[in-house]
Amino acid sequence: MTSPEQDLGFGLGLRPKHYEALLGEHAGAVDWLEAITENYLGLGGKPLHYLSKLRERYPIVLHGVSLSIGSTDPLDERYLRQLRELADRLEPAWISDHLCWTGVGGVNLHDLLPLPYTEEALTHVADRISRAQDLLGRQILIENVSSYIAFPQSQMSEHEFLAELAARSDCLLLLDVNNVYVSSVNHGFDAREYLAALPRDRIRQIHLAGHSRQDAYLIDTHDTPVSESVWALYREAIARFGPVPTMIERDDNIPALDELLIELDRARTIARETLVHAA
Amino acid sequence: MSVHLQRLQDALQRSILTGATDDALVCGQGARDRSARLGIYAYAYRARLHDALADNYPVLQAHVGPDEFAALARGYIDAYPSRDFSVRNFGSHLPQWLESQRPTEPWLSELASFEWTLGCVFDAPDGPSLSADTLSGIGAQEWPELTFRFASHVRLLALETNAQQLYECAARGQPAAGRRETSTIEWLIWRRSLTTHYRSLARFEAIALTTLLEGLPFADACERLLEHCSAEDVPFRAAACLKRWLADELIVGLGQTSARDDDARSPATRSGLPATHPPLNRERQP
Repeated sequence: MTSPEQDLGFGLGLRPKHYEALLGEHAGAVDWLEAITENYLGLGGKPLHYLSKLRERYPIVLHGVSLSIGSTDPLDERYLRQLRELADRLEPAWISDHLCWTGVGGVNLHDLLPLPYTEEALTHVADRISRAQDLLGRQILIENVSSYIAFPQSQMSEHEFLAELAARSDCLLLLDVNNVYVSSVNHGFDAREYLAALPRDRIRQIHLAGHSRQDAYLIDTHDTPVSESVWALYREAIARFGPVPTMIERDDNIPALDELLIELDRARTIARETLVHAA
Repeated sequence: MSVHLQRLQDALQRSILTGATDDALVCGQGARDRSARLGIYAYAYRARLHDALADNYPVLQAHVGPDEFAALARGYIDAYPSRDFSVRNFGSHLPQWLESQRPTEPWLSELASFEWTLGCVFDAPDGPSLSADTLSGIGAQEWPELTFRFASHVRLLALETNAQQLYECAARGQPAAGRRETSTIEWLIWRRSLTTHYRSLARFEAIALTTLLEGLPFADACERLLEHCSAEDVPFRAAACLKRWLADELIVGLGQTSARDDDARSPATRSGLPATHPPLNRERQP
């Protein structure tokens, strides 16, 4: 089983709107790209053509939304086989998905639903991550999700669950700083305490994104720039975890690439300042 | 077996699908807070699937208008929960559902079918096509048993309304042409390099292509074509079709047995509905 070790630098979530700019006027403006796995799985035509062209120029990581690692449905081996085929072709720096479930009984709700943080769920998910890693022939990264609900059955905090899960399944972690912040507001926990509990040696990637407020809750909408609160928490994360490859996710109200590059420069600046200060 | 986890997931999924709040499921400060938290997921579920349909049926949406499209989407979301790992495939049953829901407006399901098929062709798996001079090396004795493998993006669609015309009007932002039923017209939809194309087929070409897509040998196609052309003309006209298909990058292999990359002419396609297809991208830009 292979283990991703690369320090890729600063990247963006790959969106079709930016294909041409990333290959043309802004070629080389980002260090790496994160492609949504399901947008290319088992497909051809323009999407795969552009992904292949971009791969010639950039390191790429594959980020999935349908592994449904926490579901009580059987693992989708067809999905995993296709994912492995795509990975064999693209040679991504790594593969990631979420700590969540997306449906049961064969239904896909196409949402990243949270789990109860119980010993039962921990055993279940750790076993499935191990099997997925075996089928993919590599360690995978698991990302914390934003959530709006918590379950009365939970026996531990999310960060305790995540840290124990990584240890038991020997997976790596994708830390979504925005998701930590959103969930900390929605559930009233201390985001810094959350970061402090995570195993430093397993954090391989950081996500940054924007969110929106809806009444008393924060919603992980990915349709706005990164908020000041999330930038502050990112500074904390870099201070704690060091130079972790970082990228910005934007899924709606997607601006021109120039605008995202300016936002990404802010991440570079924060990381540089924080690491200089720590040295 | 994770019995408690399974029970909880069943209950939460039911709550999201039906919108019925079972607020004992989750923590919160009172029933109102618990209900609001669950409501975020129920709302997002429907909004996400509506957006997936709008992404894949922008022309149908332009044709019927956003309000009617939203109403259709609500009905479809209730009728067909997604069972695919890609949200891009969520709309695969919409033509069939429209046919059952709007039987007096057959152009609606056919417009959806036409648009869906274009989407399937856009990002169907790639494969190297045969070069245009491939046929020159085939001996006369080999022709009768010759079979053809077609690219996975090749689709045939039979339309019995002017749905293709309605599609073009809506795609260009022009007022809709009169909606009407027509005699059956076979449409060939395919991709050459990265560009999607479509054209209507004359009866002769439609029969030849249908036969060969079924995996039957060249001799069978010629036999079926005898009803439409003299015996001495059949081989020449059939060969002309083959040359065009090769130039259009439809053919990926030759053989002596029935074989195709996938079933481009499933019973669903014969009735004017989209063929089963591989998972598709939800985004089609640029």
